[in-house]
Amino acid sequence: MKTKHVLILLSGLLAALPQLSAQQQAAPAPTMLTVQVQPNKGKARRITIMAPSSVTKGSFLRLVSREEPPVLDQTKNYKMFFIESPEDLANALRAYSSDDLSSAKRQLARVRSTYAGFAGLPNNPSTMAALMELSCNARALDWSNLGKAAADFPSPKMLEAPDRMKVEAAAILSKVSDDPSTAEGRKKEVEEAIASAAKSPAVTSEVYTWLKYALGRALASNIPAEEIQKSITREHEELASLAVDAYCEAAASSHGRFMEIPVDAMHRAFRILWAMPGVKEYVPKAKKKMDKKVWEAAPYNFRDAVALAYLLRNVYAPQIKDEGISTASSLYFNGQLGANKGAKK
Amino acid sequence: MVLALAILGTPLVCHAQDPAAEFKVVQQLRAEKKPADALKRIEQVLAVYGNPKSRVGKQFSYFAPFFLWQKAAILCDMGDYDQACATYKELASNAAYKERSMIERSKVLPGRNDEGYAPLLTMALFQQGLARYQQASGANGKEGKREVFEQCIPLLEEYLKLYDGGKVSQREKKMKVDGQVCALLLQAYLQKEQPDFNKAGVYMERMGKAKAILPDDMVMNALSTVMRIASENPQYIEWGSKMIESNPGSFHVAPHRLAPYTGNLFNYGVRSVRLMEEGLHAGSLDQALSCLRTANKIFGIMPDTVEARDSLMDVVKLVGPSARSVADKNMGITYVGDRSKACAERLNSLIKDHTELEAYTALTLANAAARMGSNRLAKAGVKLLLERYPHLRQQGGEKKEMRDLNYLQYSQFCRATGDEATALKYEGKLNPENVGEGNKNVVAINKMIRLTKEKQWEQVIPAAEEVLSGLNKETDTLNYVGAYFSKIAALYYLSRMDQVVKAGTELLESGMLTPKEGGLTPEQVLNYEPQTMYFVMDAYKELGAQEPKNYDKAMAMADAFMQKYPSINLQENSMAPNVYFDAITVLMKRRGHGDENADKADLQKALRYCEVIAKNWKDHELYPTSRLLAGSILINGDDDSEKPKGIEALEECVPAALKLEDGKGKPVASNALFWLVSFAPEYPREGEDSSALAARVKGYFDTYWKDVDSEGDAYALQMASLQLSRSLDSKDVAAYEAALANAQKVIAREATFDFKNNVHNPELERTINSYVDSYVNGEKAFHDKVLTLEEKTQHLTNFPGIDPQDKYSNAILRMALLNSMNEALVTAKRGGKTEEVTALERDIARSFRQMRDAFKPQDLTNFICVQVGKFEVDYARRFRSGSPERKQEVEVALSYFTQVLERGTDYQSEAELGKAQALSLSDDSAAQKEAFALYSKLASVQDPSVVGPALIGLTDLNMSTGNYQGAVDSASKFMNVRGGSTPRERLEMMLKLAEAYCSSGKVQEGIQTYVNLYSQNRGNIAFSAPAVKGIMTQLWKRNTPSSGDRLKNNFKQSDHWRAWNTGRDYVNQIRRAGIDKKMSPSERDLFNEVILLVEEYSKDAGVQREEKEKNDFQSQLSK
Repeated sequence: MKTKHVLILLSGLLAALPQLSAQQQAAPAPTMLTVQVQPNKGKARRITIMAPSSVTKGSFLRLVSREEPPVLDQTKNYKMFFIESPEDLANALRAYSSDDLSSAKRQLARVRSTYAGFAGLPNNPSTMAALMELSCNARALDWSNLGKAAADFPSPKMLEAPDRMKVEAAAILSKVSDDPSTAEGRKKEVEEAIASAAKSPAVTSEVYTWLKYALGRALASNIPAEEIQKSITREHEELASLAVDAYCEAAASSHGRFMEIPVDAMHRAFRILWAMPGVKEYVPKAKKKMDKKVWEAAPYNFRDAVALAYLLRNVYAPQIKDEGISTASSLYFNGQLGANKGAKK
Repeated sequence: MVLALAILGTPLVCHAQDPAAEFKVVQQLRAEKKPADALKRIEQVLAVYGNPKSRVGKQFSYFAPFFLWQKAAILCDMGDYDQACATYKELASNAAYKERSMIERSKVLPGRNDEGYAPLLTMALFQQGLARYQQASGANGKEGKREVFEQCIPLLEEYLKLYDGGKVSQREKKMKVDGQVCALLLQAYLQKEQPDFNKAGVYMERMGKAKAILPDDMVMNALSTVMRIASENPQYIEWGSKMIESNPGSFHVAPHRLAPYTGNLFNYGVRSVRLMEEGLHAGSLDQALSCLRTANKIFGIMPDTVEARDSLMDVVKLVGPSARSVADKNMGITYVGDRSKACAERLNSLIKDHTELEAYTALTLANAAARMGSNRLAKAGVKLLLERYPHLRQQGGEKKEMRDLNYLQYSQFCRATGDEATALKYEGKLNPENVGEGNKNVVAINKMIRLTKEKQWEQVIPAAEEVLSGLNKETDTLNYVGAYFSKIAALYYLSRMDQVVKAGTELLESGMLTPKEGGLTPEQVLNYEPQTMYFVMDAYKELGAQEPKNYDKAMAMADAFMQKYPSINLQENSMAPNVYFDAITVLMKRRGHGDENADKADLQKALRYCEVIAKNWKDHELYPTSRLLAGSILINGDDDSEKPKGIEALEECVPAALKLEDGKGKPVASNALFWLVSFAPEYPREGEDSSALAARVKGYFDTYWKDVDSEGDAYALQMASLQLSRSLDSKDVAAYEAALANAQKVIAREATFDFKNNVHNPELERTINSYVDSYVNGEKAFHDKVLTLEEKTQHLTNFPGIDPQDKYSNAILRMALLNSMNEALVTAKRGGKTEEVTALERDIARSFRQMRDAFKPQDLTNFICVQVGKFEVDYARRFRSGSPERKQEVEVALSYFTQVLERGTDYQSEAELGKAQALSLSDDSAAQKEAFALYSKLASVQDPSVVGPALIGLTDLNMSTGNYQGAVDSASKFMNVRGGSTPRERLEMMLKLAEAYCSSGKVQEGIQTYVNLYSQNRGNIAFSAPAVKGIMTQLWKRNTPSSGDRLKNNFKQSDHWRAWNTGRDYVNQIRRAGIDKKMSPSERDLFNEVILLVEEYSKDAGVQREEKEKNDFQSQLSK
């Protein structure tokens, strides 16, 4: 998430330095200016200084718009200035950070609509809130609202590259489903997006996570659901393996940040691994006695399913209730455990 | 430490120009780092205005608290914490400053119109705590004094109490400072000399509940302290993740806020993963999991480097690159332009250098996932690097590009997840020169490990040699020893036993398997030495068939193992059961030194070892087999009183074998049950009557048919055959009918099984022959019916359950019919029934022609062609050498093999083998030469199923041409080939080997081979009888006289006596076991030959005298 602010320059407000006191006391009420800044690379760098809502009655007044506006020169006359973000936006961010996604979405919607009039301006609060809403819907795995939010995104052309990529990725992510009839199309679209994202410095881990997850879903929807529930046939084994890899890449890409999609990806990866040929068949043997020999003799998909289940249960998502995960994680074995115990020096 | 509270200490505007101007000067001096001058000015001001009772003081003393505050702050800057605290204390405790009128007067100052300096009075208490905190933890260039935390804590807690009681200023209440105080208390409790984690935990929890947003520096310092303390106390590592979870608003923030701390965060994450590994190795999964959770949380708040840099640059552009701080109170952020700029530049250099921290984060988490067993997650992490950070470089040193290293890692994880093709692709892409010397060999090692896992033993050897050559200067390393060991294992599984002995002995004697500093650890030695000893021992055992002295070497290795690894704990000594088991088989094989006592001692030792396995490793998969061997030793032994124990051992064997996983023990159970049904009837339990005994034996049969029997089981046909023949003795018609039906079912089933699997099972033929006998006798005994030839033919040609397409089984049935006619022919000849003989000879010729007609080469598959060809070869053997009939049958046989060879598709080696066998029956020297050449060629192919019979043929040819040494060589080679031959063929070859030894003048080796054969197959008359006969005749021929003194216990019986006694013992044992009642006619003939020889030798005067002397001596002893 990039930094975007609505600045309110407050001349003299609380700038309580002693030497100013005499003049300042006689000075008129502080002038407040709101500065909307789009300080990024690109040809059309533009800084807009606007009067705040209290003066302009709710609308921003464009005062400056030129190539190299020396904002600091403007502010040099002021001893202190404050940057003020809309309170709803700040609250929404806090709710988002605290995983209170519904509250975050509510407040973001308010910001989006309150500042909708500024949607044509770069990095306005409305756009920022809309971007955050995409993340909220994605984290909530709410594909339907994610799709709507991506489709109705205000002025996507105004976005900088990372944000534009985010909106595009959100549109792709919102299409995830288990429908095999659309699987090929989705797979092609997401593969193209990944190929282009991998080369772009603008892609964020969040967007890459989304794309990898969408790829996993597209690949997995070509496997009959009953096979994932029971046992995957040899015919679909390779495809299933690719889906597992895509899911795990989604998890790896997130490197621990906002785990809703990564956890869902790992859970889905587990279910596929658990249904892989030879995996469930090995369970009775593993249940009987699990030791290094039994572990090493197990099919590699069994070992990975068990390890993933164990990590889900104990590290990433203890809250998941899944009988398969319970069974699999109970069979966990780690050959390195206690490797240094009793070592003679 | 930046504290939001510090702003409270800023004195505000004063109407009186002097104190205000002076205050500005003080601030300026402080900013210019001239604390002494600043203090001097403060003291001067306080001297004038500090006394509220003075005239000036009365007017301006409300300035004094501001100056005192500054004074204390400057003293803190100077590291004079005691004086600073004393100053704060004065500010807090001086009653004059608490006077309402003075506070009221200070409210006239701009910005102080709400509370004046009142907040400073309570804040002074907090500042004392803060000063002590700085003193304790080290600040302003001073080293920390941990003991001072004891002074810091009460001050902060007292302030917190004031805060909680609402006894602080409105400003402090509004600022909600409790979170910050708790952050300090948390750290103080953790860092004091005796950390108090409970109290620290309380403040961490409260810190998370604080309503105000904490300054970034303070939050990060708290996390830093927690992570530092947790490094030494890993049980608290999870506080790191809890802190993040309980303060999400402080950690999940915009990238530019976290960017300055990414280096630290990365280090904390890496440290957590390191502690995770330590936890794993120390056996603590809990620690490993806590650490991983923490690493995941910490890495989770790290921003992407590009994103963070851009975000920081936005800040710089927004607020300028100056040191001025700009606050966004709604967001709770303070922007500082110069700091953001410096940080952005740092990140930019990371991007330019291709050393983005989040890439290492992914790598660290990938390695952590691999350590926890998830190769998929690990693979995904490395894939991410290859996709998004293809030019990633190492963090330190020369910052080498990591691409090839990442290729290597990726290929390893691909392999671990079963994607061999991708693994090979990436291994092929990498340049070994770029993975470092250490990793260069990893590629070679990976290849070796992969080939080992795939059991591609031929390729493992060069792969291991490549590793050895790459590590030739590091012979003490684990990889070097591992490669050496892999090579030995490959040689072992390829049955190159000579080379196993050589390489294994080299490794064992190299000193590389001695634990030492810089070499292998004791645990690593344990992984290799016991197995290597076992391989060498087993190799010696296999080589014992060629050179019996190798058995002694095998036992020497077993003894060395048992001495070095005496533990019976399988966790420490997993190879022990295998070594004991191998020792048992060696002891059973090496018997026949010509020293009866030594043989007995070996058997006793073998039994003892069986008991060691039985006592210590009841759950081991070798336990059932060891009970089987114990049973066989006891039952075959001389001591009748021990034989019931043999039965018990076999009874213990069966359930244990059936308990083994995946039906692995069924063959052993099958063998044991066959022994039980064969021998148990001879050894009733104490008080057991015949019906109870019969019921017990029936129970063995029932267990077999219920729990063991399955298609292809080695004993199914024999069990069916034995049960059928037993039913004849039972006089129970129902039992006979049931056994007959069962035998038919099993024969049909096994024939079909063999047919489907293209297997030629010689036991099928024997069983069908035995079936025919039992059927003929049974019909006579139970139905008083003598079957005519036509009835027999009718029965056999319409055998129920045999597939008419199964030419092989139908051919066997035809052959059984022919055999039956042959037997009738023999009887007729013996009875002198000329007409019957003529008729039978005509019928036999006709039947055989019919059979041949039914199996034309061009109509048959290659497999059937080969089988019928083999029948023809066997049939040809019935005719006299050089006879026209033999010639004709050889020609017919050759036509079947030629058909296969002309087709040039499958079964080529088998057809060549058949051709060689057919040619070897010819008198023609050219044909024999061709047969010899074919056999020699086939003896060197890889397929043991061809090599075995080729060596048999070669041995036969060598024997028939008088090349006995050649016969010894080919027979010895045969004995060393694993697989490809039936147990019967191996026994036949042992007989031939013994005969070849004797004929080539190596009589002792010959006798020894006979003894080995006899002692292990006593109940198998077809082999034990010729072996015993061989021993008897060779001993008789050698005729070594007796020697030594009976009284001195060094007496050795003469060869003549031993020849007679061996035969006598054998005959008695067989009779006692009742085996003589179950013999086939051919077995009876062989057995009778031994009896005749025993009778003949018993008449020898020398033998009689020696026997008498022996008996006299024993009776003397018993008196």
